[in-house]
Amino acid sequence: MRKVLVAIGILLLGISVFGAEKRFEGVTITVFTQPPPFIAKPVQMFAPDWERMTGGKVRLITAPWAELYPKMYSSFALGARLYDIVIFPAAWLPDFAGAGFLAPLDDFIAKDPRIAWDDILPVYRERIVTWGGTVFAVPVDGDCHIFYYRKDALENSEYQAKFKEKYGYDLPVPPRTWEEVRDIAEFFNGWDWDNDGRPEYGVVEARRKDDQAYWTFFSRAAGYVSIPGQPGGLFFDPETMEPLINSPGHVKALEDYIEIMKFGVPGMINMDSGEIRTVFAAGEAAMAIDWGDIGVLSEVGEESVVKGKVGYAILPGATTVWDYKKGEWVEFAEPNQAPYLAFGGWVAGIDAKSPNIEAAYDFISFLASPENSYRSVTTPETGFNPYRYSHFEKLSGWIAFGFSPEAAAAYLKAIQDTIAHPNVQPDLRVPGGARYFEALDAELALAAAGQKSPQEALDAVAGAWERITEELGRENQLKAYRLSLGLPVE
Amino acid sequence: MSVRRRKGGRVVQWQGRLFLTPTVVILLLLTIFPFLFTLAMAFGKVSFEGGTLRITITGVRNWTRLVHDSRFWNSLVVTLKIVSLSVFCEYVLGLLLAMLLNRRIRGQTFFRVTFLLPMMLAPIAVGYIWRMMLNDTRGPFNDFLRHLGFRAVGWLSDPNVAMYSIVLTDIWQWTPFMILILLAGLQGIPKDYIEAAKVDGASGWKIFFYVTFPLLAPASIAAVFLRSVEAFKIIDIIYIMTGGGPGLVTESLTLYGYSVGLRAFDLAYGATISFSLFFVVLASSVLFFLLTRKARQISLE
Amino acid sequence: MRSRVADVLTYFVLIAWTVVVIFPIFWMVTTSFKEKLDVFLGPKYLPWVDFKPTPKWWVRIFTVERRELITPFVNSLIVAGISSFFAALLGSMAAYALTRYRFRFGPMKNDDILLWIVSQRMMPPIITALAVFLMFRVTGLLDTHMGLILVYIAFNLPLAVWIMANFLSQIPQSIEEAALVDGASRAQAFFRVVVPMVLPSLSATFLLCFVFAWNEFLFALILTYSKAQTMPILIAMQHFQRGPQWWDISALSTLAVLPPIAITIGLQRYFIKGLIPIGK
Repeated sequence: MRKVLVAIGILLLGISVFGAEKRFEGVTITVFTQPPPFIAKPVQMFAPDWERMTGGKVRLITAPWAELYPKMYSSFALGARLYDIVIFPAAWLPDFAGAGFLAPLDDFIAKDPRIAWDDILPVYRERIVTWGGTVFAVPVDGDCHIFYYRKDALENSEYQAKFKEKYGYDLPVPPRTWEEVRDIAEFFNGWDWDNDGRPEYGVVEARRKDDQAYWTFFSRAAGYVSIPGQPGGLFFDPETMEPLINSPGHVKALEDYIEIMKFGVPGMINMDSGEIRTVFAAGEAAMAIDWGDIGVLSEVGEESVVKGKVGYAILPGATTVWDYKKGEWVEFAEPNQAPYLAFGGWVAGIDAKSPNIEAAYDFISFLASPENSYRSVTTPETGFNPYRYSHFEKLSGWIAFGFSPEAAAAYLKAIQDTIAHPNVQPDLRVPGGARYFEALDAELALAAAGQKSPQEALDAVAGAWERITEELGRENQLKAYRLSLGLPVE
Repeated sequence: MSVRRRKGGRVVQWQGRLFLTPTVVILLLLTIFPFLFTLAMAFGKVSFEGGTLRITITGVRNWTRLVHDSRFWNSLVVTLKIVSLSVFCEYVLGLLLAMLLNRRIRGQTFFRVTFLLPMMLAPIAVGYIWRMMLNDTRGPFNDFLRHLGFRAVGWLSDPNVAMYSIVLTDIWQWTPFMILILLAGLQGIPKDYIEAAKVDGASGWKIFFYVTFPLLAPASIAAVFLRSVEAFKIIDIIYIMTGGGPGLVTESLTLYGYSVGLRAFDLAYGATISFSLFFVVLASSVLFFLLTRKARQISLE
Repeated sequence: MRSRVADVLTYFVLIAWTVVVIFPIFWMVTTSFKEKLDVFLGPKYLPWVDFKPTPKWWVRIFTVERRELITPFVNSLIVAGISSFFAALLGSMAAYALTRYRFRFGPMKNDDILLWIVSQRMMPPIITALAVFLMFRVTGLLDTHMGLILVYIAFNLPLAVWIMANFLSQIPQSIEEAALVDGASRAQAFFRVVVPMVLPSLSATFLLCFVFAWNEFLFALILTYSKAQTMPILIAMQHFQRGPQWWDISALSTLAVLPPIAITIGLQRYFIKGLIPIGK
């Protein structure tokens, strides 16, 4: 069925190239996102083709990452209509869609075979881009945190023997609990295990304040607090909107989050996600948590010294898990893993007040079509990671990209396993999400710097979250939260 | 501020007004409306209903929140520390270097132009350069320390050190400003005063304390005042170098206001924080002017 | 009576400070010639000794990325140049008025007006930025040179008025009064007599305003989005998902510091003298 759709799509594409008149002659659409290469590059790649086909014009406007949200929000809220298309992190969709800033896209998608909607993984097309049952954006990127490790370290038999001697159990490859990660990090910290004349370290993870550290925290917390089949343990109680952020499970995760820094690359507390990628690719750490980007940089980056040496896995978890409903720790025989869809990927939406909605949708559909998006996810420096069934099916593009066949298969498998995992945790998707994260970020930073105990820090977050919920209206927030988890609302 | 007024307003006033008007109009246009707008936000609540911005006045709610906000007090202390420490060091260093540059030396032009360089760089760029140099494992600073046999320092990652690294960077960038103003001040001191003191047999130190320093007071006051006002608003360097971390040890008021107002988009509270900074600067300026009143009177004579 | 010891000490301190000033700049310039691995496996100090310099980042900036570079660079020149010219001019006119006439606006007298003008500099830019954004949206000044120029004039006027007022208050009025007696108007007296006399300090004021406007970040960030973007924004954009692109940041920063340096060298004869009140 999917293939048929794809075929029809290609056919229609062909017709529109050769047959139809130029539909958008004289129309200029403005696309706004972060600066090239990442995310903006596919726009640059495909704009000329689209312009030739339709006669329209694409104007790309960019701003540094930290400014995207304020710029988009102010443009929408103040009615400045600066942009037709905005390409933004899915986490912001509730804010934008909830306030009526974005144009609903269901009708366009229903009439558009080119976009091959069913080819997109359900988690993205059903959860990430919808709000209240309506589609407000098109996914152009798939994002989740996965776990990286150095095969040349963890799979080395000499090191494995030494590890067993020291810790009394076999070095697990890949590790499946955060406790194992801790031991391995300690073991590989501060000595030259890859014989390059420089010491290496146990882990590298983003900890920088005012950046993306809180996603790493949730990645580490998910396994401790997410009981399979019991949604919502990660952020709020879905019955009351009471914050769960200071539950014993979260506190344990924060303790781990802080302890592991002892076995991290020096200066890790000041590193953002971008920087840890370069550090891992420069061969300085044995393990890392990141989106798909470390994989791409390590396997194909010109500065990478770890090509072919990287192992990929879903995020580790825990064997004792906090059950917030029972209010007690629950023991698991097998580690409870709960991969986390941190960030949720970049999505493309359209300003509801744009005069060029039709042309804007047409460009998005062109950008996100199976063929073009496959090219995007297998081109260096696009920042787009796979999000369609078809992206995972053929390896040829990945190999042309610079991956070895084994690396490509392992990398894609880790991502696919994450997305298809029965206990996968979606990111927080409620209006004011940025405010909740901002409050958390500051307290995480304080705890990481040792200025507050984990319990104190998370208690403070819970207090701040309550206040934000009160201010934004508990009813509304609860409804939004339940919607985002797919729970019924009355 | 030494403004001498023309005695008796004989001359036609409209010409004077004409000269003053453009400045006043531009400043009013670009500052008064924003000032009032932000004031309203600081005492209100901002909402976007139906895609339009609406401010509802809610009284002092934001301000009671501010008073109980430990993060606010922290950022206030951080800002005051950074301002006092860096402005003090910049002044002392700037004075020393200006006095040396004021001597008859070879290579005057070279030194003067070179010393001004840091000021010419965008603070954004300065932040990145120092972040590179202070990197824990790949920065030259720790490399030097290693070669000298010392332990590496977490310049930007150790909560006890990070603030001083910010101060260090600020000193590097803005000492030139002090040099510029103070050197001008020094050159404005008539040579005969100092000659006279020398003839009276005063030692170098005495000349400095009893002649040079008092005569330099107007320039010193101007330099310290202008520099402090800028330093209170510090954000670029911190934003690039630490983002306010580790913990909150380098989070300045402007950075906090920016995080709350423009990143979390809590405009009303962001405006409140920004306003508090304005009051702090205003209060410090008034205090500064009171403290230096005596010195300024001397300078007028 | 210049003692040897003092001379040696003077040169020692001056040279030491030169090293302090130069080293970070040296680091910036050399980094723009380093391969990525030389940055990540650093620190590498001396070109040709520690690492093999590569011109590739510079080549890329001037070829592939030329279009992205030229616009912000030209924008910065236009915006900083024009705004500092007007800030210096309008500022000195205001300063002239404040030192030659007696004003009274309600309870405000000259000193209060001057204090009010200077106090505008105390306003944290984030206070004004959002409101200015709103105003500019209504007036269509968003993302225009005109908009940024206006903001930077306002941003620099307090400084300009302050410096020029301090300076003009020290100038003897006899010369202009002679011109006035000869039948010149005030404007003529100002432009023909006063301005030439204060040219050095006007240049110094211009230089300071230029540097501040050239490097300003926050307003440029909020009030521009594509056509009028300036150099600091371009530099800040070199921080990607892949982490800060140190080589690009270094190359662009090096490039961005050239115009202010050129102006400094060009005006260096004036800028110290220009800040000295000549009445003394």
